[in-house]
Amino acid sequence: MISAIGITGDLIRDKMNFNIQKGQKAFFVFEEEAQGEEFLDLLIGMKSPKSGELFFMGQNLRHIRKDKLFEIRKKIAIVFKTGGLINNIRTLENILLPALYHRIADKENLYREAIKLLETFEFKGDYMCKIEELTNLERRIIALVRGLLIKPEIMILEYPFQGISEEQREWLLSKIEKISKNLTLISILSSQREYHFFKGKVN
Amino acid sequence: MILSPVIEVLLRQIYFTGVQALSIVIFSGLFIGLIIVLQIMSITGSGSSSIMGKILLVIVLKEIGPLFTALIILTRSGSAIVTELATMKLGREIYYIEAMGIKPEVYLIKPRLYGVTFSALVLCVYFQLAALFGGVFIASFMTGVSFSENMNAIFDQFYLKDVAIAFLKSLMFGFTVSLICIWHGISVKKSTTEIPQRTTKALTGGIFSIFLIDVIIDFITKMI
Repeated sequence: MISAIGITGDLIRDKMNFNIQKGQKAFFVFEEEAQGEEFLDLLIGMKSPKSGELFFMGQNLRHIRKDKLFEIRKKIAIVFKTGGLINNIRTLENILLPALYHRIADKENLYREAIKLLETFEFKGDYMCKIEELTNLERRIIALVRGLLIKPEIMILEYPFQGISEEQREWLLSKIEKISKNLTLISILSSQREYHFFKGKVN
Repeated sequence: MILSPVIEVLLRQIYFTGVQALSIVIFSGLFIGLIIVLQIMSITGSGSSSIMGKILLVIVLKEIGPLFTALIILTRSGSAIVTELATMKLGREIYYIEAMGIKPEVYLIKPRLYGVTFSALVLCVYFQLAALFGGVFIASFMTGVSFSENMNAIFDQFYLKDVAIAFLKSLMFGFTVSLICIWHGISVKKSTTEIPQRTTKALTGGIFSIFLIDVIIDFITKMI
């Protein structure tokens, strides 16, 4: 599904080789946050590798047309470390934005599904609240729900435990474990400790 | 009702630029109409309705209407667009949008461009109507000539070509103003201190462009 042959970036200096199959759970540890960010940029084609080749669903990201790249991104759900939410629209609008834009399903069904997912994630806040009113964990939940709503083939978690308590990590991991059963999951983590913690639960 | 996200951004832009600015545009139009008539009367005296009608119509319809509306839109919506887009860029929100497979030109740029252009046209019509009404009202009040007689004097001077020029100007002004503001908004690089700088550049660039386009259109229409 995704394979890399000797890729490097501006910050990632060691050549990376990997091959991620459909349904696989892959973990990448970057202790330097900037490296993790760069790796995410490379994965989703926001940046070209300095050297090496990266193939995404058989397409070489270096030579891909912009339109095709946007098509590929439709299939990827990214949970950014900050949530990656848009501040000038409300929480529910954030959740529905990519799914509605990509016309994943009928509007009413998407709305119902979003509410159901929010309940699954035990989201207690107001669905129409402003983004700045959300806690770190809530932002991540909203990003997860937003990602799931597009029926992704791949989910990328960028430093999923950053800025949340131990207790919240446990809880979040148990939820990720449930939702990621048939999903290709790529997690960008900050330490070996996080990796063992994560791998023990999600595999 | 759940709308497509792009349509929603477009409607929000029209609401902010076109609907929320309606009161300021109408009041400005009324006052401008009053001022123009008072100035005409100070030059020509209070005698001729037809001269007053002609001057009022030409100034309001072809020049002041599109120009003033564009300036109101530039200072009000233009600065808001620069600030909003610049904040989004610095907050990496444009990056997030792209990462979700959403084209920024479709979701962010086009709705603002079309929304402002459409609003410029509609607001210009309101401005012109308010200015003509205000002008005729004060003229009737000061000269004792009836309101309908003054209105008729204006309608006698009314040509479709002038309306077409006014519409063309409004569309061009709206499009240019939004384009300049969008460009400055998405051109910020790293620091929040760039936002006021970009806003200032957008406003000065916008004013200059409005006047330049006005001159060009006037020149071309004079030649035709």
